[in-house]
Amino acid sequence: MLREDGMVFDDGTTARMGPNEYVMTTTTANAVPVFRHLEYCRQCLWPDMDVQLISTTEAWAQYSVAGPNARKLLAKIVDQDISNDAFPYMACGEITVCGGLRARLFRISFSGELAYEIAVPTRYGDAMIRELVSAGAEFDAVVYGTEALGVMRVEKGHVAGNELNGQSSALNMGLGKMVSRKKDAIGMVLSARTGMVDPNGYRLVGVRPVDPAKSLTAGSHFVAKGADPVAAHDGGWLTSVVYSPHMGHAIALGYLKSGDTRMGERLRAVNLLAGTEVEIEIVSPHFVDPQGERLRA
Amino acid sequence: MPDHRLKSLAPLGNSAPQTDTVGPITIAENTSIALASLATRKGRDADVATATQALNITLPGPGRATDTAMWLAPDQWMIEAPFDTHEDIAAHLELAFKDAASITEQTDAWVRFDLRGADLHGLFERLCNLDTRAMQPGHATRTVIEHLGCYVICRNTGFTLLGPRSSAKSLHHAVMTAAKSAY
Repeated sequence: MLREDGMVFDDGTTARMGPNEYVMTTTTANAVPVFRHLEYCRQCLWPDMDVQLISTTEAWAQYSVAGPNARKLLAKIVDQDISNDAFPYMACGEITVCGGLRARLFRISFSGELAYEIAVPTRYGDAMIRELVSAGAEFDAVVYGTEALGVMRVEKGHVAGNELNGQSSALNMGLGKMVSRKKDAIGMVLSARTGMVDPNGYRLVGVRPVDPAKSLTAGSHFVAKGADPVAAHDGGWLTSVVYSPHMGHAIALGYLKSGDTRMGERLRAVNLLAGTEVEIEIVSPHFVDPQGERLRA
Repeated sequence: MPDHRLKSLAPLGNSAPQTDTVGPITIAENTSIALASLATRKGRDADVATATQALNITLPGPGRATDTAMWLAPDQWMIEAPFDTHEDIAAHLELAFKDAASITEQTDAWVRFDLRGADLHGLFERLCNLDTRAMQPGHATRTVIEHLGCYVICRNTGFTLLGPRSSAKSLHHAVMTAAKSAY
């Protein structure tokens, strides 16, 4: 979702639950601003549109079930067929669980794994997570939180709050292809401004330390080898840094000028505040499963 | 009621709703009511009126509530029904309103406290800037309590307070604190 000025406002998912019914999710921090924006669009921009809105955040308890065994685990809980053919990647629908409780299933993934999100009426949220943990014991399922999710989303190259900084466009984030050219939308006109489509502008990149033993510091700036670490030589910055268990070393996402054309280039990540400087290599932001095969498995 | 193996929790986290008494008032968590929002689709006012009449529901105007409906916004209301018979309230309403209205389940979006006792005004004076002395039974309004957007409904029996369910314990704490101060 773009702002009028073409910058990314928020990212989330929209699921079509019926011919005239959609459920939209947002980031947690932007839930109210997005709802306010939708009301503004409905009431002021297009008052003739036949659209009704209400928040449904609190009405459902929703869990992500992620990992190669996610379907096997859910098959023990969901009453309907959720095979890959019956419920493919990006499917959504109303289902029942545990012998008849109304629930909703969404085949979406933020962790990059084969994943689903399952929602039950909030009063059953506690019972649902206990059921998932108990049914998942045979698959070594564990409850994970946002710290683990934060690592997985960086490994997958998904943007989050650090990249959605209010100053970045879909093009900056490498999501330019997600903006449809076949229709108009809020933000389209101002997205076409010269500065917004500058090929030398910031692009999302992946970063790894040349020496795998070195750690990285978020907020470090990209500086060419041999150049003074001053503003005139600033090439961009590291937005998110994690230790990646998959890769076995620190990895990062960052915004680098012309970054999409600079794969394999070696630079320095300099942080004058922390007093750190590390030689890094620019790589694809998709560290794990770049073709999305796990998502569709 | 659906036949499944999951056990529900009340918003305060217990298996049954909780009631507290402070001095002359009682604060009762109420889980016996199902809720759904009803929003009229464009140009379908007459169809909505016919359906509400058939269901014996009156849709009140701004700032008003009945025992079955509360005004939320232009052309939008919250409908309530006994939970035991209307656990799937949205499906019930969709049958009646078909494509004339947009219906959204809201039952678990809210914690409901029913407040009873003499002089509840002293409680609300501490909780919010709403002048409950000016409210008559059938009046309802949105207000902020402890940073939470809540609905306060004046009824013949006292007041009903609806707050966001995930903040049920915080809201309950605020109500209990104000009650201990007031009584």
